[in-house]
Amino acid sequence: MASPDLKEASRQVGEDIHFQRRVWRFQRFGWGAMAVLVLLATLGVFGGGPLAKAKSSSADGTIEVEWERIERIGRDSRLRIRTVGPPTAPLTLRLEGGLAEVTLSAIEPQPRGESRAPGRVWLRFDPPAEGHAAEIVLNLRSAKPGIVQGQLALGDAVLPLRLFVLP
Amino acid sequence: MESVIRAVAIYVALTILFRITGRRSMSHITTFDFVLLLVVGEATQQALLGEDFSMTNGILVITTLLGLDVTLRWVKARHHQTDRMMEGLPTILVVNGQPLHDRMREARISESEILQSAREIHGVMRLEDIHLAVLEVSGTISIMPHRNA
Repeated sequence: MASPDLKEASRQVGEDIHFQRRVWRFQRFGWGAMAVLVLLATLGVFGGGPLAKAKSSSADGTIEVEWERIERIGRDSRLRIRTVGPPTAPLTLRLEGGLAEVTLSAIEPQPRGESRAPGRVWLRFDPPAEGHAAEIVLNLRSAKPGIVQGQLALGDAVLPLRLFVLP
Repeated sequence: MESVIRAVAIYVALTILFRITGRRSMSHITTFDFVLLLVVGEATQQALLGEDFSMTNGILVITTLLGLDVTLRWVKARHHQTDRMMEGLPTILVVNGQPLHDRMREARISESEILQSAREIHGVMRLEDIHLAVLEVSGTISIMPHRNA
C-alpha cells in the first residue's frame, strides 16, 4: 500500500504508476521480441544463414542447383548450378520469368555469349575439361522487394526457382 | 516515392526500438553509449539512402524525417494519450529517503545512479537526505533534497 507521502508526491509529479507498469511490461515483451529477431536472423530467416539456403535437382536428375531462397535488396546471393557428371549437351543456361529481371552482378566462369529477349536470358558457356562435371556460379542482386518466380534451364533440364527478396 | 517509404519505415522502426529500450538508455550517457549511437546512425544511413547518394534523395529523406517529427509533436501536443504512450510519465524512485526498490528494478536504475545525480546537482551524499527522486521522461533523475539537507 502506498504511503500518504508517496500518494501526495505522485499526485504532484503527475505519475501514473499503473500506466508505467504497463509500459515496463511492453518493454520486457519488446526485449523478448528483439532476442527472437536476432535469433531468427542468425538462423537465416532474413537471408544469409542456414534456413535461407535451398537445394534442388531437376526432374531428370542431370543438374543440381543451390541458391538462397531468402535474400535482401542490395545484397548478392549465390546461385550455383552443377551438372551431375560431364555435360552431354552444349552448356547454354536459360533464365526465365522473374529470374531474367534479376541483375547478375557476377558470372563464373565468364560466358562465351549472352543474349536477351523479353523475360528470357541465354548464357552460353565453354564446357569444362573432358570428364569433369560443369559448374556455373551466378551472383544475383535484386532491385525490388517481393517474390521472384522464374525458372532455370540447362540443356533439357528445367528447374523452377523462387526467391523471396526482403527490402 | 522510395525515399519517402524508406524514411517513414526507418522512423517508425527507430521510434519503436528506442521506446522498447527505454528512457534509461538516454540517461547518464557513457562513452560506449555514444559510440553505439554513432554506429546506429551509420547503419541507419545506409538503409535510408540505399545506393542513391544524390542531393535530391538526401533532401527528400531529411524533409520526410523532419516532417514526421513535426507531425508527431503536433499529435502529441493535442492528444494527451498519445503523448503518454510515446514519452511515458515521470516515475518516483525515492520518497523521504526511502528507495522504492521494485520501481528502481523495473526502471533499471540503481541506488548509485540516484546518488550520483544527487551529488551532481545538490551535493547530497546520502539517500536519507533525499526528499524525492524522480525519473523524468527525458531519462534524467531529478533530486529534491530535504529542506534541512
